[in-house]
Amino acid sequence: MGDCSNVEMRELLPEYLHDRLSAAERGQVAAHLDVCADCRAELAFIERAHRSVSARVPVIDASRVASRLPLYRATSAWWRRPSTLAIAAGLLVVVGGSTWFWQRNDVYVGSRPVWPPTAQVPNSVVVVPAEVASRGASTAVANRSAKGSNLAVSETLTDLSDKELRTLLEELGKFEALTSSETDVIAGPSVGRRGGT
Amino acid sequence: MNPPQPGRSDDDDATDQDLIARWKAGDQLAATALVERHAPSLARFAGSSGVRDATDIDELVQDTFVRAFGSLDGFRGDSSFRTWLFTIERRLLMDRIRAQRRRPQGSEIDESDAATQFNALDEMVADDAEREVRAAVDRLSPTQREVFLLRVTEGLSYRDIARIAGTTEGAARVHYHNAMRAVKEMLDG
Repeated sequence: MGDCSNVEMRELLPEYLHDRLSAAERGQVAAHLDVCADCRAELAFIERAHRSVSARVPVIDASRVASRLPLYRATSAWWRRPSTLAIAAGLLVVVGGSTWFWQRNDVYVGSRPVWPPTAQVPNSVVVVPAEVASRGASTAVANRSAKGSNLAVSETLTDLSDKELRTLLEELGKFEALTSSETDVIAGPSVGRRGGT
Repeated sequence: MNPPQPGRSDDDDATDQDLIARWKAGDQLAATALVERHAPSLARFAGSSGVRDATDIDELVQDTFVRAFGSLDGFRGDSSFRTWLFTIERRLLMDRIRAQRRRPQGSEIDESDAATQFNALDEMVADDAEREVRAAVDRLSPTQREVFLLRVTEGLSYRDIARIAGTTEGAARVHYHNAMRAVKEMLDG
């Protein structure tokens, strides 16, 4: 048997045999088969090969196979996906780490404290008598003592004794007025607590 | 160039999708329907690929469906459901062949043997003409036989065959025509 020169029609024969063509294509192939002996022979051969190969195949018991299939378990739930879990874990680390960092460090925007969100100003400077600042654990930030005063600025928040507090108040009383820069230096809460003025 | 196949195969795919959706919703009869629809093709493919024993064919088909239904969420619908099943079955078949090669004795699957061995019952009842065709097909190279069988027994397009066999459409077309010519020459000669 020879090969039909109409390659396009020959290529459609397997699909035609298995009814995989559209209605229009099926009609075209059927019309061509009416006039082409080579394609009719080719189709017969394909049919013969199909029949021969299928003859030795056992029949599968579909019910038995289906009974052994797993039950459907959705794996596409977004919260079950490994990528989602990984992202969630990563966010947890970032949030937890940030919280830990912020709690251990004071955060300022410019000169304004934004963390911790309380009125307390950590590391505030305290006006203390000079002799107190000199023996404080922290080093004195600056010595802004006014002329003739024994006051100094210190980072330490060490509580003052009664005597030191009296000295502080006496020295403060020497100031006629405080400039705006000096009012930035806050007398720490220990002054008021000791019953200051 | 392969013509488009919008007609019946698309309807089949749509129906497969309906059955898959029903199975996901808990309808086990939908799974049975899918097995009934596609098991014969899978069995033909297994039998034609060198799996001789009926029990082994049955087992391969079973394994294919179990694997497929266990990973049905991975079926994206790029190809037909049957094509996807063939891809899975082919992979399982390759695994079996590799496992068989590692065994020193016996050969349960022979993908490259020139002569096919049927059991005695098959020999008695098989039509001579059919036996001749099977013998000729078995003499093809593994790739030619795979492409030829998928085209002849299933009517798959070159695109689907390429997807299953892991090759290109052009290569699938060449394999098919070479296989067809070889089988005809063996039958004529």
